[in-house]
Amino acid sequence: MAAAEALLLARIQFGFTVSFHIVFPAITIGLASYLAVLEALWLRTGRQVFQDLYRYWLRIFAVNFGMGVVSGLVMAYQFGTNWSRFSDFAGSITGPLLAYEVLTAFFLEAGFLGVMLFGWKRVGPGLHFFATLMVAVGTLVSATWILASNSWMQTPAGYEIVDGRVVPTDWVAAIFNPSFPYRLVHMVVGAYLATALVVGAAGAWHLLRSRDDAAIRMMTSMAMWMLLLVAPLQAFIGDQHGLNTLAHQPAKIAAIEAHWENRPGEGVPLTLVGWPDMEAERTLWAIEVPRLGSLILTHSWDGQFPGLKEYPPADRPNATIVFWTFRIMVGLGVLMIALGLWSAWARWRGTLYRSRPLLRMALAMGPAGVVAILAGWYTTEIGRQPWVVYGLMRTADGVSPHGPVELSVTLALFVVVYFVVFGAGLVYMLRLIAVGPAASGEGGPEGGGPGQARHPMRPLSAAPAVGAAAPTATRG
Amino acid sequence: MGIDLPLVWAVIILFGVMMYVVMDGFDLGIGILYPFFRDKADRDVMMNTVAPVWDGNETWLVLGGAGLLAAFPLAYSVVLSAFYLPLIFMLLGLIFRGVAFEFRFKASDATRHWWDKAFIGGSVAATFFQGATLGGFIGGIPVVNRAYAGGPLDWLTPFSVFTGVGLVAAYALLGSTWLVMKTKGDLQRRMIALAQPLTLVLLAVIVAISVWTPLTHREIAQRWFTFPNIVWFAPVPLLVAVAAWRLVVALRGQPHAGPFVLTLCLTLPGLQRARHQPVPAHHPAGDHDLGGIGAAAEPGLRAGRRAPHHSADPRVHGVGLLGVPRQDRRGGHVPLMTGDAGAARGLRRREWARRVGWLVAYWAGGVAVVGVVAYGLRRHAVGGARHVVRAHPGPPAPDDSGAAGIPATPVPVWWI
Ligand code: HDD
Ligand code: HEM
Ligand code: HEM
Repeated sequence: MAAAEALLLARIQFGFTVSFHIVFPAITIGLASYLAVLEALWLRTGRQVFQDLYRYWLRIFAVNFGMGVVSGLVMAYQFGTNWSRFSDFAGSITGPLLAYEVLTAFFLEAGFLGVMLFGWKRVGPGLHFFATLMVAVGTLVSATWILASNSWMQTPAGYEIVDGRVVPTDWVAAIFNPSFPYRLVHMVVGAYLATALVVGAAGAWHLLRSRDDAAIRMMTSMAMWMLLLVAPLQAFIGDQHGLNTLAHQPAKIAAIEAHWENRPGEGVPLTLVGWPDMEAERTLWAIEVPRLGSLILTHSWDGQFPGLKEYPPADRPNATIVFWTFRIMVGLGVLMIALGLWSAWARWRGTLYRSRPLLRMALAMGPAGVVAILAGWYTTEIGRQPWVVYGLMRTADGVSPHGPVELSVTLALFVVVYFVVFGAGLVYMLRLIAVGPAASGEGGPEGGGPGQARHPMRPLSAAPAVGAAAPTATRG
Repeated sequence: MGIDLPLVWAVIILFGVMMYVVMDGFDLGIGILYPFFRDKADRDVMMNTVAPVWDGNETWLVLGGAGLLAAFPLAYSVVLSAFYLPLIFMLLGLIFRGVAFEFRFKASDATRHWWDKAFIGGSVAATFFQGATLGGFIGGIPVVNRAYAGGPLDWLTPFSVFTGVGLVAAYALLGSTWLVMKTKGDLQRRMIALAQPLTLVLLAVIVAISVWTPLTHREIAQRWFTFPNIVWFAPVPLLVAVAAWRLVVALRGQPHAGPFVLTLCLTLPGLQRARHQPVPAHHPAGDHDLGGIGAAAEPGLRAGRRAPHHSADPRVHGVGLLGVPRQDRRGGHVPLMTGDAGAARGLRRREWARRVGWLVAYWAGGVAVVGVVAYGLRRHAVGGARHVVRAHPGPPAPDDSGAAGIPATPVPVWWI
């Protein structure tokens, strides 16, 4: 009994700490690339807006990065503190991947980060841009290694079991394991989307409060372009990811779709909403679309895929949770696509910076990317249960031998500390966002295009119609 | 098998830990020194000297952890579960310490003191629990069946508390000498005043640990006082003594980087103690009489501590040892201490007397040698201390570093 309790506590503790951690790197990955783009644009065009935006987001990036580092440090030790038997079993594969992450990416990041944050006046613009670029690349390299490690746990490859422990035999196969490419692309694109939504929400907030200047327009516009182009792409990648998962982890897909059993010769319906009941082995209050499940997952009218009842109860992931986390992710993905399309339409009509309903939606969607990332990870990770290394080691066998008491104490501490510390961090970030970019970019009186102020700091209602006057380049 | 991979990794990890102590030691030290400097301007300067480098410094700790997992998964899993609580406390301390760098400069005047406190508390807690972990590590880890077999509080012993406090002193000294190097004027003067007593405290701590360890840990005593190991270790007290002495001298003069470098010389030999702890290795765990206090309290465990011999498959990086090769009892070395590990652990009086005797002889010899060397060096050393060049450019002109809120820093770019 105590062991089961300890296992649950250890899982909650790991899930809690990694859930906080992932939020910061996701924004770090997105903002680092965004900053690199801004600086490149500034160097190319020499327009002050880009520099203003760069400085504005750099401050937020710094706070976010600090929180990413401290929460990540905890993660590097959690494998040993919470999952020592797993580390002993699989450490010869997950360990080196983690070590390469530190060696390659973090030194790159940590080295160039100082130049990026503190070197604006000390090094030339070229070198500074190079530092920004290296930081952006570093975040992507970090993500690559850590996701290779996680993907290997989902779809192990390139190993052999010797004396009850995993031994790498083929590193290329282990790193490029079957789910890795999908997961990497999906995650990185997710991070870009999440960042675009935050940037867009910041722009929308200022616009809604009638702070309308070149920099704010520029960032709103850039964010909306990103959504329009990338949100549909993410849905496509996610679909491919799901097909791949069906090939390698069919039980996870069965749980995600709450698909209990196949009826002979009949296509699988898609359950839109419902309440999968693990005890009763059926979905309560289900609303189904006939055959759509088959269509999406097998691309055929009456294709079939394994149902949950084909697995012994001990091998079934919890369908109630993953069914819903998956729907949250996909639902938010659909809303992102909608927002992108709406923004394109408003842009075409010339109301992108004025349409209050659109701006309100952009504001409300600010946290949506982060929520979708978390929901996606819950789907992935809980859908993998009861395995910690899929098909090789059960989560229950990977846990460290701690008692429930220590685990409860540390979990309580983590909860309190994380909410206090990262809550304060969130407040500081929101305050920095609320300050807005330096207003040096304005000056050019007219113009409607992105990055050009019309009537800086004046209520929108008093502003003339967009495009009424000839655009003038704004230079600060 | 070609290269001895475990050995290479052991060197990398050891290097990581050393680098960590050097690098993060001084910025944790600054947090420990914060209570002595209440003025906001002073605190800003102190923090700014490390703001650009702290997260790079902390990366060494990540490297230590990840490297250990990569090369020695078993050691990683055993050690990290054995020190579950102190490590979690250390991590929580590092969280407060880390975010304080960013938050302190963003906070309003009314709330800044909270982040000052977080910085102090986080630094002290992280340091103390690092030290306590080190002490617990020397104490030993009971292992059954490739897993940690002790209780959650086994690490908590008088010895580990002492090493925890000792590390706080060591980092405080690192921090103050770092600031001696990085600041000037009044702040520098006060740092020097602080560094002098700290040197003595640290010296006392090192001596105490050096005496305490072999007295209570038979395994380690056996290693230290056997030939040829004793030859390797003999210069250690010497080095420590010379470094401490030079440090005091350098602080009297017109110090610059000297004290910081000397503090490193003083701290690093202390570290090597951890290497004497044989982590359950390729050897069956029953082979180790780890001499841990926790283990002693659970006699039942020791009987069961025989783990299966695991294979020597070269691809499994077995747990190599972060230390000097174990003494082979059958080998032809000259054991200065006879210790039959099979015997009951109760220390007989004669054995104690012998150990104390050896210790006294060892230290007396060390001190004598130091005396001779010191005499020879004296003129030269004192002369050298007077001529320390002030290469430091002094505090830079206020610098708009690009973003309001991000502090200008006196750290030159080459540090980054
Ligand atoms: C490198 C590996 C790795 C990565 C990148 C992640 N995880 Fe994970 N996760 C694990 C490695 C892991 C693990 C060590 O394998 C766990 C511990 C036990 C288990 O089932 O898997 C785990 C468990 C675990 C659990 C508990 C599972 C359960 O209760 O069934 C949750 C909720 C998450 N993770 C959530 C996340 C989130 C939100 C992530 C986003 C970053 C994430 N994980 C990334
Ligand atoms: C359980 C798994 C994870 C572990 C053990 C882990 C470990 C770490 C560590 C130790 C750091 C701080 C390193 C430093 O000192 O700079 C860090 C930061 C980072 N992590 Fe993770 N991480 C995990 C999950 C993830 C995931 C899922 C991603 C992305 C897909 C990610 C991407 C990053 C990035 C980009 C950084 C650097 C940026 C920042 O610090 O904000 N990590 N991680
Ligand atoms: C709307 C269409 C989407 C579909 C069809 C989709 C599909 C999927 C699927 C099937 C998984 C589970 C993969 C597995 O079993 O391992 C997953 C995971 C995930 N999703 Fe999505 N997704 C969509 C949108 C999004 C969006 C908008 C985001 C973030 C902004 C996102 C972020 C994630 C993340 C971070 C994971 C976990 C990591 C991974 O396994 O790749 N997804 N997604």
